[in-house]
Amino acid sequence: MIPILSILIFFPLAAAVGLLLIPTSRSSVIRAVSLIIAGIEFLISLPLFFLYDETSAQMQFLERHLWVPGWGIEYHVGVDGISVLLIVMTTFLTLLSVPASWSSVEGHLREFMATLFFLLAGMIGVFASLDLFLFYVFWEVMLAPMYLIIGVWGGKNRIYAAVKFFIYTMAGSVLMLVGIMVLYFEHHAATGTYTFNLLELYKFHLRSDLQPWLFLSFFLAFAVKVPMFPVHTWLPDAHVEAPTVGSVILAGVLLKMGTYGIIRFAFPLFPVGMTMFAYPIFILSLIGIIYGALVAMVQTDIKKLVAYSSVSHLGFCVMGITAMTQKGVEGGVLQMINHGLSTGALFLLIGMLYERRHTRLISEYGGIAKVVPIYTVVFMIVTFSSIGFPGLNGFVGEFLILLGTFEVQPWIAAIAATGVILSAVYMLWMVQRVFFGVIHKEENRQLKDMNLREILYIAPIIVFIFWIGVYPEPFLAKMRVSVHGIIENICGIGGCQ
Amino acid sequence: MNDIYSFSPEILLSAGGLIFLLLQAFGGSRVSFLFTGLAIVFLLGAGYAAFLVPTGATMYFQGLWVADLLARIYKYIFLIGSLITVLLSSQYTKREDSMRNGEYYALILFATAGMMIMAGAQDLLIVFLGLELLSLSLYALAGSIRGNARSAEAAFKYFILGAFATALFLFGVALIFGAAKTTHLPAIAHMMQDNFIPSSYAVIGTMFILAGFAFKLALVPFHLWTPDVYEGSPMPVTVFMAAGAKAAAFASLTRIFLIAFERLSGSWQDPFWILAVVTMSVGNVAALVQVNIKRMLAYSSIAHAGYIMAGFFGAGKYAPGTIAFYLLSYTLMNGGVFAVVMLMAGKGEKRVSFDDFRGLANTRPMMALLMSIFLFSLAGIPPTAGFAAKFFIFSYAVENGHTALAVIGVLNSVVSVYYYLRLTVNMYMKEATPITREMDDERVPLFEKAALMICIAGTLLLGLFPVISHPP
Repeated sequence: MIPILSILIFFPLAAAVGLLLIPTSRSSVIRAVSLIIAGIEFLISLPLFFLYDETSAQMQFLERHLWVPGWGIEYHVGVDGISVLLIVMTTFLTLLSVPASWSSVEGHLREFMATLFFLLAGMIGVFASLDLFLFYVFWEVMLAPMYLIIGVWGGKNRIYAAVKFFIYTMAGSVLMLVGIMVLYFEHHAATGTYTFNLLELYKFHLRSDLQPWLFLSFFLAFAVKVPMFPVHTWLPDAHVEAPTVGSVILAGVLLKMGTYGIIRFAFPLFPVGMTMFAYPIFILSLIGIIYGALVAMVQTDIKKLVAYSSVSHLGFCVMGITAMTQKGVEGGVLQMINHGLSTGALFLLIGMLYERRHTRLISEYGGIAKVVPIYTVVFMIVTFSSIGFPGLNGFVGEFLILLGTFEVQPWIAAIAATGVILSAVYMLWMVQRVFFGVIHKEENRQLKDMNLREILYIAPIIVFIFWIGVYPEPFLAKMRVSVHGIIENICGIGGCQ
Repeated sequence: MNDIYSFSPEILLSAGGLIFLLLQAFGGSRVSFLFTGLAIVFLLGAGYAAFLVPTGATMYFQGLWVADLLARIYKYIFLIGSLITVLLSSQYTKREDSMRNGEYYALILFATAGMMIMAGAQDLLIVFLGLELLSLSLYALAGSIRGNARSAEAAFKYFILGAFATALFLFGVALIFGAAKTTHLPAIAHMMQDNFIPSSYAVIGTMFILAGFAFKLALVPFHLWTPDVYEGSPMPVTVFMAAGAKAAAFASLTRIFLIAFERLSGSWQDPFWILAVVTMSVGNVAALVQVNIKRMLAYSSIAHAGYIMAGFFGAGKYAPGTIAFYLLSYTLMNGGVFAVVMLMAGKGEKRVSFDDFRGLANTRPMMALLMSIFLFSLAGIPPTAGFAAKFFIFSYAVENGHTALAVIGVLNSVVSVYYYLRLTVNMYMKEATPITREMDDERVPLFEKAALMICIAGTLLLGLFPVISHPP
């Protein structure tokens, strides 16, 4: 059996080292090689998607090797329906980011690509890990490359944003580390085995007085990553200061690790804790949805607007997952993919605008639809996707989430639905001010429309926006049985509302 | 005969030290080119001798000395630290005119021998013997840049305060002797049967011993000498002090408190807890405001001593191993950081502030990368040795019910990230200044390259394949 997952994790690492050996002067070679690396990575991930057995709730493509035997630490990786979708999305977005960075990265392109590939390895490692120690290692490993991407290649205030990102995220995560230790020793005290194996620990019923604490220690780490209100304040700075590709990966993939962690670790390991905190989590997600949308409305910088919209959209994801109903969780996971695609596309498009005018302020634009029609059409499609317009991908996810949440918390779902209206407000208002109306800045008349390279890297996302919107079944089918299995495991033990 | 045989590494090192003194006296500067290589030979020889000595619980010298697995592991750690120091000394002593002499290497070898004596000691007076041999050598080494006021200040401060600390230690030993009628550690341990109530002499004596060691380890509030001494000493000596002397003191602390005084743990764990928490916190907070890299690393050293103190809350026979693992990781990563700083600092150590490292990623990318890995390791970020070491130490604390200590420890790690990160900010995210561009041309000599390779290999390999393969 070919170890696909290990190849997916370690190939980018090896490739990054190889990339660093190419002399900086050969920039076209560097560009070509990085595209090839990202392409190979994406192609390797496709068998993961197509060969996945949709009828089984078990982890597939398993690989398991002893790492630190005495402590029960293993190199244990595997995927289920949820992680398969996330991994393919990750390689897909990375592939699209490479040509985007050719024009947006100013200086040290080679090092940027190498850092991106290190990050890629870490991200896939997080999605594939089935050993808690291994998971934590990959989780923290991602911090350094992202910190460098923001801090070296970012905007004016990048150092502040990068350091804030690093310390904020790490502070959230270290308590999870202690939580992992406590879980590990509690498991040993109860069963006599030392193991970090997730699948083993799923079967362990931690005593009820410890569950709230451990649940919180894990949940806090993920809540910071999502980001949920009130620990979301690192995101706007990170997004605004990050380079285009950095924002794409940050919004497209890194944020999903928070929601992924909740469904993979926090909820299944501590069902009693989950039940205890479900209602507060609903409230916080709701606040995130509404507050994120309201703050997005008043932004003057397009990127910051999209950053807050992420807070809002991911509030939906967390809400759907917390509902613990088949529709809710499926919607939450699908929306993770959708958000990755549409927000990733938004950041790519904003990046195109920034490369031309070097400003992201809404006030600097206006009426540019007349000058860049193709760009306008694409931007409109992505906007509608982000809003959740029926026929496009966002609608499917949000609808499932609201339906699933309504089954258990009708009032929460009802109020959350107003968030959909709010997202239409801030997005369409921004679009109206940027694209339509009168051209009041002369520089905008010189704007060039999308060139072939840009069209080529946006087009795949547009394809998926329509595909998932019209025919989401292939994607939902991948996760259906896994989601059902997860819900059964959790609700069987902790009891869901 | 067995006694002498078990002592062979120490004898070899001491002989080496004497040979250096003779070489300096009779050869002088004509043979100075030999010194570094010869020192390496002696260190490697001592390593081989330590390998040959069979490990076991046999007591040598009528019970004063033991050569078990723990002793051997610590001896290797000391030798690695000394090796790194000697490798870094090669260029350093060439650069500083006042330091080209054999006495420097003799003192390093004597100090290493002292460390080894501490690691194998089974009697409090033998601990004292090793401690003094180590300390006196270090006092002299601190001041070995002749004619430099900072160096002289460092030596003087270290000597005065160190002598005071040793006196405290000795007073504690005397009190213990008064209580137990012996200074032999296994005998003392044996006396602590069940329902053992220590007499007040014993308790006070233990506290004095702890105070003496707390000074040597630079635990708060006994740490005030550390920034000045670390800053003033020549950099290879700082590496030596930060890694080796700490390791030796922790080795003795392990033997005395964790092993011999195990039954007293109810009494000494409380002061250890306070020392650990206060040391970590004060060390980290003080490091936040430093602008001089050497002082920042001194405070970081203090903080790490605090983390290691958490290792004393592990129970069971593998707890000493975790402490040793941390010390090994620390020796390697700290050695690495200082190696890079030393190489970039220039003659007279003139470029040691944070600002002097601006834009290093552009002028010396490899150095910046190595430095970043060492800094991340010190901060405890995977997949480095620093992370593995912290993970194991805090795990032990959690296992024995001290979760609060682990939480404080990891939160302190987050605080420490800020000042380690600040250096990477300067290296990667700021423009190079004319000062940093000066560093452009200096090639890294062979010995220093070897030191860097040992450090980076160790930091990464120990992180990826942590050798603690025994159960917690």
